[in-house]
Amino acid sequence: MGVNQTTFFMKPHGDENNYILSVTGVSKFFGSITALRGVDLNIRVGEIHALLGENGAGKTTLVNILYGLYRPDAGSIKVFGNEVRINSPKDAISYGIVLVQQHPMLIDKMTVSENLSIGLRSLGYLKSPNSVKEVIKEYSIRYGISVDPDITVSNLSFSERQEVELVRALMLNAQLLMLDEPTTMLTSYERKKLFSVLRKLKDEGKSVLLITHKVMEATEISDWITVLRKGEVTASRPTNKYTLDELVKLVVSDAGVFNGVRSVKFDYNVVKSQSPEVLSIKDLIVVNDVGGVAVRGFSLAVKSGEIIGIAGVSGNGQKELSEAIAGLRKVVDGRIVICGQDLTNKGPKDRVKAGLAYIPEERLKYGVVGDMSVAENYILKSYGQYSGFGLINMRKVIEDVNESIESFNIITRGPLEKVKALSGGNIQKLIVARELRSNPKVILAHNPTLGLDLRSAALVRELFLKAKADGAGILLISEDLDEVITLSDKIAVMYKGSITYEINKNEASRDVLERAMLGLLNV
Amino acid sequence: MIDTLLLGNFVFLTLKNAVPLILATTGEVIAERSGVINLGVEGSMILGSLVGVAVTLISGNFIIGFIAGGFAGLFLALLHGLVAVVLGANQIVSGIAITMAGLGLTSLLGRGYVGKSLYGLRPTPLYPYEIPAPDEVKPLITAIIKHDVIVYVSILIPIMVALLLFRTKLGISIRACGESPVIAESLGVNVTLIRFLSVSLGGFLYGLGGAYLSLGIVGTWVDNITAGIGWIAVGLVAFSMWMPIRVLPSSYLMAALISMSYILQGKIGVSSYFLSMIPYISTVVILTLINVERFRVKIGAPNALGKPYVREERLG
Repeated sequence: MGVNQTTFFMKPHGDENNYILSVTGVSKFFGSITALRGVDLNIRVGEIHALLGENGAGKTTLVNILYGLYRPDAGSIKVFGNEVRINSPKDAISYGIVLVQQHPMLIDKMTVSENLSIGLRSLGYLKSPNSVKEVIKEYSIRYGISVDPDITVSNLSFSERQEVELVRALMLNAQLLMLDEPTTMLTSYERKKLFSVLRKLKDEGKSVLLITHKVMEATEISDWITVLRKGEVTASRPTNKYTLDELVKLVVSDAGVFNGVRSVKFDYNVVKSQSPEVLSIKDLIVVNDVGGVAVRGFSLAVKSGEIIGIAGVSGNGQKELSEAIAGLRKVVDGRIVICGQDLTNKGPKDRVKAGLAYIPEERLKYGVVGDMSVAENYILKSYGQYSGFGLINMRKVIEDVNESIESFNIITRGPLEKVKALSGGNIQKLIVARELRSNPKVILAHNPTLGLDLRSAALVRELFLKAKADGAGILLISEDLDEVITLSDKIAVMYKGSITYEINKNEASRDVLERAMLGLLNV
Repeated sequence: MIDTLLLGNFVFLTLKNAVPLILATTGEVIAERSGVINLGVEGSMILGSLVGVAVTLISGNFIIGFIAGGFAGLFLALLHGLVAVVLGANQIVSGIAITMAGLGLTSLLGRGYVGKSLYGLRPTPLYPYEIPAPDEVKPLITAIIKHDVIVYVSILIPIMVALLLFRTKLGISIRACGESPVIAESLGVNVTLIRFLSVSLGGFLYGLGGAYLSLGIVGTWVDNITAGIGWIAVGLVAFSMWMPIRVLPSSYLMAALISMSYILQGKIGVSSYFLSMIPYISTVVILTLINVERFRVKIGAPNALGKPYVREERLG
């Protein structure tokens, strides 16, 4: 880094090339896959710039290049008109470019102030992290964020963790703040709060690059939108120069397919009252990792052919509930009955046998084995049916996997590619494909469309409706309220470990549900 | 009635025997906090032990010998750092190899030193005079006061390491590497460097512990002098829940068990072999208890412990 960083920020604002960041002709290839081809991106000082695109469009790859995690195969990057090489996050930070990643880069066991001390250059090596507390408080007040420096990160909600990340970016003297899908796990209230912080930053002359797959979000907050599709820029202009229809067409690579999925008429058959109960939970009590009661006295029944949606803000016991039902977490008290069998303290295998399919929230941890291939992951639960004399018939497996890859539109180099190389959305499609192929009687899905683009999400939802029509009972635990409202026959709100509000689909009001999720409802 | 002489003897031995344990366990806490398990403790200790004797004999000063022992331990730990941290090899395999190397190397190089007298060169008590006290408590007070400087300094080491890990930015970086090297790297921490540094510092402390064993406790070099002390230290890390301060009570407890086995030898009709099993059996019991899932969640092992970290182009 030959260029002194202070000279970077002292360029006059009226400069014709008033770009804080200017990317020209950037390409990136992973083996035979083209992730990015000739991408141009110009971000002005004091602008909120949206980078819009589907999953797998190359947004994350581009951001990783700008943050020094990948190296581009071609193209140049300029900061305030000076060509730079960004070889590591350290380099990026020294140019004032800071990334707030999709999953907060925080260490659970440490306090906020300890977390914010990691890698902070202004702090001497042997200086106490206590000295950052003052700085944290100062930024908290200035941007209306409430962050307690002494609290351990494991006690924070997702949006609070994100706020800590924002404070970190500010402490690193960010001039360009890149946010990767920041609103995925936020309630609409939290999203508004985040956006107001971003606007404040913009007013102070900082630039923001918002990476998102949500069209509405991009139009709501940005000054400029660059659309990325299949690794190429399809449009880049001021936000008010787009129409909504146009934007959707620019984003979605195959508008026809998208429209096809979208126009499917969901068939909301009223569930017959005599349908058998496939999942019944009674007075369930489950504790979390640190011994606190996470699920307290939870009761629910799911009938065949119905979808029950559980709405709620993350951290209200949904994770523990779904793990308890899946058999991954011990039940302190209560009963779990699947298709008439009491499986309260049986392992996951017995539950699968009884007809349970589980689509976990933490895909990489519980859903797939990252180092195994697509095909191997696909048959993890059903390898028995592919084996003869104790050997697995790989040819048959690969035939079936290829079929699923096609019908579920999973983007991969092939059945033998390691799963960890797939994008999040494609991993999820693989999991759904695997879970649904055995015609389960009960489907337990936790945030099944989290981080998925419109089309993948719509596909997953459609598959749920299909499974429902085939007689499966579905328990959908989701932080995406719209998803819960669209799919469910009955909606329950989970707050602090139990159901605080229940309503039939057609009587539900979004406003009331949101208040219930925040615990503002007097029941 | 408690035999005060016997009790005094027991306390004296316990305080002395705890020194190698405190030093080695604290060293291993540093390494494991950074995410690197080093099973080369035994190897580093025994090399430190031999080098301590050799350098003391050459230089005529036990402090120089003691420090040299530390560097000998560091030397073997550097190998572990190179293989397991820089090159990202399996930490368990590399550590065991280093222990084997240390044991073999000292057997070979130590032949000429076996039983060699360190007369006049061993650490002497800080306060060498008679202690004026009533006869009933005199043995006990003597047992606490009449130690060399290293016994007292060793108490400070875990406290200093606790300050390092929890009150400095370097310490936070070390812990970050142990919890999540990916996050640490993305925040600009050089994971390889920090881990290498932690392993080296750990190795220095193993070496010091080994040197004290030959200089301060046994008083000469004998083959296989460590006799498993290094492995006990590895077990004590978990027993101390990776907290440097807790290394003190757990080391003293283990040292008491070891000392008891010495003292009870010949006093009661139990085979000495059985008594010398006490520390190992207790290590197994401790490790069993600690690995029960319910305990493990609470005791807080570093999340990335034992997992090599090599920066990847595609992070997934």
